[in-house]
Amino acid sequence: MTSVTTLEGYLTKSISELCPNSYANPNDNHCAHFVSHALGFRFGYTCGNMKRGPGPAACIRVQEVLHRCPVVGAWPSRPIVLIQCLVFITKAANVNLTTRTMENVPRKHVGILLNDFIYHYSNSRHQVVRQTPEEFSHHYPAPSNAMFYGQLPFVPAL
Amino acid sequence: MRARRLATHSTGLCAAVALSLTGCRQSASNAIPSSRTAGTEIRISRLPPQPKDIIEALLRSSEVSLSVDSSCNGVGSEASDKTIGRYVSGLLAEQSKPQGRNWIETTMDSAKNAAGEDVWRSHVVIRHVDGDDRWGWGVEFLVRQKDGVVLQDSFRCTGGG
Repeated sequence: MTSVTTLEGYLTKSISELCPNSYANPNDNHCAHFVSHALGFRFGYTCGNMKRGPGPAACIRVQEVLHRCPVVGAWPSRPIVLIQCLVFITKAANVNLTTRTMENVPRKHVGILLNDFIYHYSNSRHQVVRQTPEEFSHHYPAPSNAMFYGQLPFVPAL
Repeated sequence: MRARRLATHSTGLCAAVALSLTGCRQSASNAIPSSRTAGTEIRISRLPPQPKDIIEALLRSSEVSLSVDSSCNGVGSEASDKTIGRYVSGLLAEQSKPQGRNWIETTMDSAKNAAGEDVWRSHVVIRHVDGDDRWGWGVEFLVRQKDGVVLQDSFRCTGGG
C-alpha cells in the first residue's frame, strides 16, 4: 500500500531520481520499473539485473508484475471498492485473464490507481505523471488501449 | 577492455535478419532444420569479436532454449515461444513499420566467467522508440577468449518494460 502523499511526491521526477541503481536509459520503458520502486516489488527481473547498484532492486517487466497480481480483470469489471490497484493498458488479446499472463509485446504499460488518479511513468516525457483513467485510456491508440486492473501483489515486510 | 558499441539504424537490416530467422521456422516446437549437429560448438573465428561477429553468433544460437535462464521466462511475444531464435524473431518482427526509430546496439566487454576463464560478455539489444512506445530487449552471452567458443549456457535475456 502507498499513500497519495507518497505518490504525489513522485510527480515530475525522472527515473534517474527514483532508481538507486542508476538504471535510467531514456530509451528504455520504465513504467514497471517506476511502479516496482514505488510499491516495493523486488521479484522477477529487476533493475539490478540490468545494472548493478547499491540500492534495492525493483522489477522492470510489465508481464511479470501482472502475473504477480492475485486478481486481474477487465477494467470495466473493477470492483468499486478497489480504490488502489494496478492498471495495465495494452491490446486485449495480449492478456490471458485465466492464467494472469501477458505476452511480451510492445505497447504495454502499467500505472498505480489511487482514488481517482493513475500515477505512471511517461517514457516520452521522462517523468512520473498523474492522469485520470479516461486520460490514461489514450496512452496508446486503439486497439492497444484495452485496460485491465490488477490487485496489488503481496509485498513481504522488510 | 573498453566496451565497444555499435548502433545500427537500419529498419532494412532488421527486416532482412527477421526473414532469415523466421523463414525457416516450421513447427510448434520451434525446432528448425539445421546443418549444425545438436551440441556442436559455435565458434567465432575473428577475435576479438566485432559487432558483426556477435550478431552472427546470436543468429547461429537460435536453437538455445529459453529455459537456459530464469531471465528468459515469459520474454517471448507468444506463449509458445521456446527458443532464443523465436524470442529474437518476435522482436525483429515488430520493426516492420516505418514510424519511430529502430536500431540495434551491440556491446562487448572483457570479463571472467564462473570458471575463472577470460570471456567477452556480449550484449545485443534491439530497440524501438516511437513516443511512449519504446523498448529495448535483447540477449547477453559469453564468448570464451582463448578459442572464441560461444558459451551456450551463458545466454541471458535482457530488457524491461
